[in-house]
Amino acid sequence: MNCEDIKLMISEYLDGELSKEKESFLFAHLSSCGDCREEFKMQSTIQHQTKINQKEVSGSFERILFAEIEKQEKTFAHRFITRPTPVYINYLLGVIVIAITLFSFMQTASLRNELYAFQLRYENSLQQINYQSMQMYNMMNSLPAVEIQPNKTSVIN
Amino acid sequence: MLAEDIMQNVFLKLYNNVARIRHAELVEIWIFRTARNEAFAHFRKNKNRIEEDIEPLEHKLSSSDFAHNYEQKELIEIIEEELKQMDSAQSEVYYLKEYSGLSYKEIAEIMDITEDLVRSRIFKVRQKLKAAIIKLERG
Repeated sequence: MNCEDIKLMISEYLDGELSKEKESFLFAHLSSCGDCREEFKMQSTIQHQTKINQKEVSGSFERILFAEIEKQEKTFAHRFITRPTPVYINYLLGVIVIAITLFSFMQTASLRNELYAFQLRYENSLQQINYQSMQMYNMMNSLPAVEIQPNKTSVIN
Repeated sequence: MLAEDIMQNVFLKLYNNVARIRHAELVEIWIFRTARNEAFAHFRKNKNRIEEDIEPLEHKLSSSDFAHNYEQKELIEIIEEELKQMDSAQSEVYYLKEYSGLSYKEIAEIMDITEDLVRSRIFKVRQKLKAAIIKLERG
């Protein structure tokens, strides 16, 4: 590995992208090569000078940003509350309400019919039972009277 | 200030789209990517006004607390000038690395290039800056 490769490794090291194995190799090389030590110093200075020239945002940045967000939120809430409902949504809601009412009415009507049919069946059954009990009663009463005589032989004995 | 205006837009967009960012660890990349797009969009829109937008270097340096030392001031000036003259694709990678501390992989993702290209561009920028500083030192 020559000094050109070492230059690239220095760059990677300064960026925190050099693996541990390569790192030890780099420092071993630096301890024995003056030119590469100079290169290391130079790249490190460049990095440092670039970083200290980094500008921070102004103190008002955060305040302005939050004010802007607040403004957006207000605008959204205002729009949401005051915006009239579109006509087609009103029509749609009307149709839905009518459909629900019709459905409920139909359901109630069919339930009423079923109840009436059940009542009829019940009354028929009741009439039948009464008729049958009446017949049984008549039948029992129409039988001829039977005379029961005691057994003479058993009396003598 | 222009950069701050762009960043205001970026953070407003972040606020409005934060629910769409699925992974929290991608927020940083999202911010840089959006900032990049916003900056490009701004410069595309104001092609003729780029020069006016760039703040004079003198003002920048005088406001910096670090630049008391003349030598340091000069060094910063050279680096800044040199970076301005470079191809934006190169300087952008370099700025992303030095100012954001993102990894090569993350920068590659933001810029849609390979990690090796990021590595090589940063190295090339440093070599160019080194050459400019040596040239100045030698007078």
